[in-house]
Parts: sequence; structure tokens; C-alpha cells
Amino acid sequence: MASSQYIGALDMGTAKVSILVAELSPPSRLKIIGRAMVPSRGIRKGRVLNVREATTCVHRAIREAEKSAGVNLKSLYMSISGSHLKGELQVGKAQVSHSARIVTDYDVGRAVEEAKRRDLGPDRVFVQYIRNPFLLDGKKVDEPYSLRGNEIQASFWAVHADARVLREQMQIVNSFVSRIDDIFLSSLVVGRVLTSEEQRQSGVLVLDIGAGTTDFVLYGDGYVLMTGVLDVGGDHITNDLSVAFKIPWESAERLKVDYGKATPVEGAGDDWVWLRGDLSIGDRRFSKRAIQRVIHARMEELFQLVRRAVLPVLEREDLRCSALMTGGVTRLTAIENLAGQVLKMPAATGRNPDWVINELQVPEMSNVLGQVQFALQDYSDSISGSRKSPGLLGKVKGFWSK
Amino acid sequence: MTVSLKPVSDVKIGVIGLGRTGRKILERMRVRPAWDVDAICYDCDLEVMGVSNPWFGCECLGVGMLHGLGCGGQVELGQSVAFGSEETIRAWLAGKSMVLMLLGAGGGFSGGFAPEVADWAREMGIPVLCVACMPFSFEGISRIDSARRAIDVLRESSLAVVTVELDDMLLWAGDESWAQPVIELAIDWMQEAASSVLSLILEEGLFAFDLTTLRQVFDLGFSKTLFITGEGEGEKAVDDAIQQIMGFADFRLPDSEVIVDRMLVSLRGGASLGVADVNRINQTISKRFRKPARSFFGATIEEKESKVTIGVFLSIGLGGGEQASASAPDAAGAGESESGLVPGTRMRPSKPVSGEKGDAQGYFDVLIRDSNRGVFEDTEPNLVNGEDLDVPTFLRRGIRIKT
Repeated sequence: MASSQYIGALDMGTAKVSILVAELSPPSRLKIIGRAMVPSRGIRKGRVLNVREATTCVHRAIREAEKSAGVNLKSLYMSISGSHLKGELQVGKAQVSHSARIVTDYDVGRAVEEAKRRDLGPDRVFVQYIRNPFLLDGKKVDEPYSLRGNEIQASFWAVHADARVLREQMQIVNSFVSRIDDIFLSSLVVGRVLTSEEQRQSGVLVLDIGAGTTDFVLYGDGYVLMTGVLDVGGDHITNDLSVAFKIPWESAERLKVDYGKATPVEGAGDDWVWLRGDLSIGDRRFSKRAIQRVIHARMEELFQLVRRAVLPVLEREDLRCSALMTGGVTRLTAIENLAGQVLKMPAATGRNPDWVINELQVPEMSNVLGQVQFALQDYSDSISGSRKSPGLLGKVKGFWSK
Repeated sequence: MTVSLKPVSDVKIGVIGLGRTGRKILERMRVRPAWDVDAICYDCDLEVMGVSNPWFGCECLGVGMLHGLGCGGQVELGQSVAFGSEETIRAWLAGKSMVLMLLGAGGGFSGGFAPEVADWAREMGIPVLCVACMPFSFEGISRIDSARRAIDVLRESSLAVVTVELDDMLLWAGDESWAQPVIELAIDWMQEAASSVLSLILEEGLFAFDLTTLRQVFDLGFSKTLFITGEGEGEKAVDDAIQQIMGFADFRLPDSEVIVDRMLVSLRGGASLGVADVNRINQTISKRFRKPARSFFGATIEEKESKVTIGVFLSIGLGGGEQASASAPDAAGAGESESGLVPGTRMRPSKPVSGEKGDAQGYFDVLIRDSNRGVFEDTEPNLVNGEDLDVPTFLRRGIRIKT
């Protein structure tokens, strides 16, 4: 009988580095036994800017998580983000070869092979192939085996990454633990934890608006139809306020947290707020409306960019979906209203699953919770002998030899 | 018969220091004996008058009304003192080619007195250049509002109001700073602004610079003018001075998101200051402020001077300046460089909203620039659809923000 297994999930964000440690046991039981969240340094917009600083804070987070869980981690799952990740739909077709036009493994294999046949440049590496529904003579089918038809079409949402950026992140983790179990797209793990199977069937757009990036994933018919990343997040709001009012970063952050609102209240009158409110030296007052206008401009643009990215898929699939948001930026007041207006769909902030404790019911933990769920799926598949995931080495085949 | 090779000049400049701040500035000004300057300090508070100074006189006004006491922050009292002393002031103004007025805005005396003096000077055809200090925000809303009103009124009557903002200087100095050293620093900057203007006009410099040129610098009409200064001594004097200028500029005008319409660089140094240094300073500063539409340069050399001091005046039109600018004579003094307008990149002056003069000062129409990236300066451009998303959205979309 398979023994229990300790796993760790790591999210290297711009603002925070989060780790969750869980114990997996047969048949598919999951128990969260440790966690850590430390301020991030040296990472911005999904990229490592300062290896030394990033390494220090990641290692600190791992040590704290190990201490909290009372176990030593030998390996870790990790998520990746940043606009260096590019996704595209790759399609391959094959004629059904069986005389009775019954689709066989051979036909599907040829279609899949053709879909995946794409040579990236030396600086890029595929990190994820996400299967979309097969089309058998133009009709969507989940599993085409044994069905009759003339032509089978396989399609994948394929995501590739900048090899150098990915290598840097993996090296930071590898310098502490001996192995990386798997790497996930941030948008996928967050989408997994926030949505139900029903939502993914009916269509849902999940946005994770973090400090440095906004990751999004669009589901329809239960499949991942597209993913994307914009290098825009809460830090941009802070930076905008800092530039607008010519104040230091920390002061701008305070204004954002204390008075941030996605939509300004227009009309007569305006409230003025003090930076610290104690009338001490250096305290200044600001127009609340001005603060909100700066934030509104940034958030409106962000949602417009997301809308522009997903619109071709929405139209192609004739999808009517809703939006779910998470990430630190969703703490902004009235963000659902603005998202709904700009995205032109019902929008709400997502919640982590009810089965997690209150301390983990924060947007910053969605990512690692999603990773743990994927890890549990992997674990269950492996003990039942039906593992489908290619694992890290399968995903980034040939990566280390480049 | 003696023939003088120096052109005869009948320029007579008057310098008025108002209140305690005005007096402190006058005391610190570096004035050369050869300069034909008539300086005076006015206040209604006898305590401020103190001991007279060799190079400027002191006069306590409104004694009959206030009995030698201050205005207690009441602008109306300062105005009354001005009305009661109109004859005296007009007599002092008579014959002046230009007046420099130095004050701390926000005070009752200077806030009420200065606008009246500037108005009388304008009636008499005398250009007035004001150097004023904005109070700290923590001094209270009424004092800030009073200072803003005074500055707005002064802007309408003056060539320009050069403002030094204590809030900025405090933030620049860091959270650990005390108010008093910041005030002293502001006074130093204000005296440097005044001294450099006098030096440019009254000294024979590397470039000819006269009152006509000065008028061209500030002929924007209703405008906001900032002053930044830096100084250095020894082998790295020029580098140090430039570094100080850049340091404050980066803080106050990060990446020049506010486009400067006029710039005047005033340079003062000793015999060791070479033409190469002058060119380097000019190029570095012009580049930093993205070659304003019109920039002017003046440099004066004093053999015994061991320091290099750079002063930069930056003027930004707030509306009403286009007409004034268009009617200004084209003749430019030596040392002026025309960088011309870059299509699509000029700031449109924001006209003050009718009946809301107070708001005009805080509004800037800012425009799309590719380098207003703040903390993202060191990261690669974040290009999406041809726009760098690291540049604040409100800048790229030209949204007005009340600062």
C-alpha cells in the first residue's frame, strides 16, 4: 500500500512568497500541516531581478514552512507567472485510417503529434499543453476513441516560457530542495481552486490580480480555452499614486490600502484625507477623488486589456461567461462593479474552498491551494496507476541541455 | 578724457524682503558691493526688524495700527498695512527697473502686503519677480489656503512667482528630518534664487544676460515656476552640483512628467570653471528636462569664488501664457537655445477653472512620456499594443489629477 507523502507548494510572487505544506495519504486525502508567507524581495512582474535577494526570501519561506510543518521538504511544486509566458492554440489533424472509419489510438496520436509539432526558438521552452476538445468531422467530442468519422482534429492551448527566466526561478528553488516536482501556470492553479466543475462547464473567466502580474484563464465546456498574463498589478497602482502625488512608495501604498476605490464617486464635493492623520511633520492631505481617479484609470485599462485578449475566444466559442477575481488587488472597494462594466459580464470576487481554515481564506493563498489540489490529483493518479501528467521533465524536455 | 568700455547701464533693481522669512533671505544673500541694488525689509512686527543690516534697510510699517505687533496670520491686516503705507511704497518703487520680492507665503503680513505691492509695481510698469516659500501642510489648512490665495494673486501681477515648497523639501530630506533644518534649507535656496537673478543681470558674464532676456524667461503669463539649486566645491564641484540638481529633480519632477515650458540655468563659479564644464552642465540639465521649448543659460565668473553653484528655474504654463508668449519679442539674449516643439509631446497648459483660482495651481495636464516609469525604471518596457504599461495610465491618457 502506498505510504503518505509530504508535499510543498511554492508561489514566488512580487509582494509575497507563500508556501503550503501538505500531507497526502491514500486514497486521496489531503491535510495541510504547515505554511509560511514572507515579504518578497528581488522579484518583480514574475521575473527575478535580484537573484541574491530572491534566493534569501525564498529560502527563508521554505525554512519557516518546514518549521511550521515539522518536516523537511525534499521537493517542491512551484507556479510560474509573468508576461514571458506566451500561449497559443495549436491544432493538428489526421484522417481516420481504419477501414470502418473507427477512430483509433493511432489516428489520435497522429493528430496530437501534428498539433504539438512546432519548433520554438532556442530561447523558448514549452511548459504546458492544455488539451482542448477533439473535433471529429467538426463536432466537439471529449473522447474520440471508437467513434466513427473521417477526420480527427486535436487542439492544445500551448504555453511556452522564456528559458532563461524559467531557469533562474528553478535554480533558486533547486538551491534549497533537491527536486522540483512540477511547475504550474499560476492562472491554472488559481482557476482550479476558485471554480467548480459546473462553472468551468458553463464558462468562467478567472483573474488573479496580484502585486506584479494579472494572470487569467478562460474556461468553457469544462476546458481551458486560453490563459494569459499581463505584467500589471497592484504595484502599478502604487507606482501611479507615487508618481501622481510625488510621494514615496510606502506613502502611496498606504493611500492605496486605506482609500483605494476602483471607481471614483463623481459629483459635488470632495473629501480630503491626510496621509497619516496625526498632523505630524511630513503629513499631507490628498483629494480622495484624485486618488480614486488614478486607481480607476489603471484598473479600467487592466480590464480592457483582459477583455481585448479574451474577446476572440468568447466570440469563437459563442460563450456567455462570468468573471471571478482574486489576488490582493481585489480588496479595492467597488472592483466588482468596474470589472462587470468593462468585461461586460457578471463579476465577483472568488473565495477559497470552504474546507480550508480561516487563516487560508485570503487571496494570497489561492495559488498554493490550487497547487496542492493538482498535487493531490497527481498523487491519486499515481497510486491508482492512471497518471497522465508528464511531470516536470516531460514538460520541459530538453530544457536543461539548452 | 576717460573712455569706459563697459556699456552704461541704468538698471536699478529693488529687493524687498517681507516679514521674518524675507529678512532672513536678505541676510544670507551674496550681494557684491558693485551691484546697484536698493534693498529693504518691510514688516509690521518690530521684533522682526531687529538690528539693521549694512546692505539693506528695515522699515516697520503700520505701527499706528498694530502698535509694532504682527498680523497674527490675518491677511486683511497685512492688506490694511499696505494700504496705509501706499505712498511710502510707491516712493520706494519709483525709478526701479525691476523688483525682486522675497517672502514666506502663508503669513498674514506678507500674504496681504505682497499682492498690493506687486499690483502698484505693475501699475508703474515695473516687473516684479517673487520668490516665495509655501508653508508645510501640517501648519494647517487655513495657512495653506492663505498661501495659495496669495500666490495666485501674485501670479497675476508679477512676472513670475518662484515657489519653494517646504513639503517637498521635507519629503526629499526624508521622514527623519526636522522642520527647522528644512526651513533653513529653503531659505538658502530662496536666497540663491534671488542672488543668481541679480548676478545674471548685474554681472558681466560668459553670456550677455540682461533684463530683457529675463523677461523672456518668464513671459508665460500665469505660470508656475520652480527653483532647484545645487553647489559643489573642489575637484568634483561640477559633478556634485549636478548631482544635487538631479537628485531633487528626480524627486520633485520624476522623469519630467511635467513638461517644462521655460528653463533658465544660472551658473556661478570661480576661475577654474572652464567652458567645457559650462557646456557639460548645460547639456546635462537640458537633457534631464527634455529640452524645454525655450531654455536660457547664464554664467558668471568671480575669480575668488571657490564654489560652483547652479540654479535652475523651471516654468510651466498654467494658462493664459500662450498669448503672452506669442507677443513676446523674438530677440533672444545670447545663451538662449531654442529646442522647438516636439509634435505630440507638449504639455497643454491647463487653464484655471473660472472662479476656481485656487485649483489652478494644483492641476497639471500631463502627457504621454515614455519614461515616467517610477519604480519600474530598471525593468524592461512593458509594451502592449504599443504602450508601455509601466507608465502610469493617467499620464498616458492625459487624465488631470488634482495634486
